[in-house]
Amino acid sequence: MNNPPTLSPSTNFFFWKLCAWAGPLYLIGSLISWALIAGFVPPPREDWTALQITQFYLDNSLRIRVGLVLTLLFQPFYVFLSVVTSRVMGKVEGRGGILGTLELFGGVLTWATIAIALLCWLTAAFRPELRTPQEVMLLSDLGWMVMDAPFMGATIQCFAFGTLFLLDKREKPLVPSWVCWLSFAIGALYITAALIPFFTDGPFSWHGLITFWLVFSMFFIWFIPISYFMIKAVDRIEQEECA
Amino acid sequence: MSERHLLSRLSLAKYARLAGDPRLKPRRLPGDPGVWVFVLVDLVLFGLLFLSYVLERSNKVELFAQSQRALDIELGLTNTLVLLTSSWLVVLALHATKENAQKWIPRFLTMAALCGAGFVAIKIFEYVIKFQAGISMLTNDFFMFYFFITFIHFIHVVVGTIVLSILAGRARRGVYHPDNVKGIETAGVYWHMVDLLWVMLFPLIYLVSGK
Repeated sequence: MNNPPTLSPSTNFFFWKLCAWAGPLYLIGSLISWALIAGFVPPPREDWTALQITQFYLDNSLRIRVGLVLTLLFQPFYVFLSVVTSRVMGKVEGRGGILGTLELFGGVLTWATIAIALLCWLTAAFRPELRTPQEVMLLSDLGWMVMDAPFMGATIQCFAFGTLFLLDKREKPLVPSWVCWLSFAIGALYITAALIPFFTDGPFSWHGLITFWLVFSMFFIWFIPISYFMIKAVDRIEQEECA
Repeated sequence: MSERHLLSRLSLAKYARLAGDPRLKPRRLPGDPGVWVFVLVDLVLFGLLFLSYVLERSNKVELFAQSQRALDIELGLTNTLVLLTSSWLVVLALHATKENAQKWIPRFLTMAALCGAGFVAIKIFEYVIKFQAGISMLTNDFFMFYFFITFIHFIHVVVGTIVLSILAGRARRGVYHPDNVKGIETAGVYWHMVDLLWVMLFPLIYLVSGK
């Protein structure tokens, strides 16, 4: 027997809104802690020698640890945003729709890979003075491989999101079509991340013009329209359902 | 010739509208306006790829010129013509839709999709020849760019071919008519972009030797 939910709709949607606001918090929190505090922008270069990499982690050991621990604190916000996005998608395709589920699983996958990459660098910054340069290099390399190579999680999210909201038949769709097309473009752009194992210098290295500067800026820029339209969509769904 | 007519002939659409020419509809972007955002981001990506290629080549002019000679200009040129024909067929399909020539919409779209498939086949053939000659992405920097840039473009063509086939199927069921051209226009914008990218890519990678 199905019992009706005991939570009032307004309380329910309050949690939806919290999840939607996790988007901007993720963006600001990650940028400050990862880029500014940990100092990963510009990133340590792929063509550095083991000694140069070790020196980077030795010189910045404390700030990297503080920055990465803070970044890790913000990572679940990515999942929050994916959860609310997938639920909003459920309002378009029906509960248990495939695309919303893909959005959610893509989000969990992306969160997990980013968290593992951060943990690799965190380990490299943890007592680097007791390790050989090769060990520090291994951890640093591993972090970048984990960060960039499993891009498919985020690509799946972009394509599921774009496809579904383009098909939204509402008079005024929950998400405008340009955001959907932007998602396709960004999802396709992530494919370039597959190139970092093949280059140590140039545009396709992990510090390169395309695979770092373009891919990472688009990753962060993507949060602005997504969060904005999710916050608005939750408001609209609440009005539709509570009316 | 009236002033009104002259203005519209000069394409001064805005003034012609102000002068009250009823034949001039307000200008709008063809297709779903959102697709232009995709086009913009994609062009930025390819722009950066082309720029990286040119910068890299300026350091290794000799290597790039020598490696370039291993490419099949004939196959590349054939593909250019195939893709241009395909773009033209999409334009014809759009005209057919606006004229409500129902029989011709799926025909043109199918032919356009077949051209896309032809491009894919020729490109695969070209890749196989390279692999058989022992040339791969890891051979040198030139081939890294060659394989990567053409492969990204290749994926665009595969996606476009699938989209055109779907549109052809829908056109056969009579989905498109003068009041519903948006789908074909949007696909057309994408397909012309894929075409445009190849038209820039082909001379840059196959022809320009920088010597």
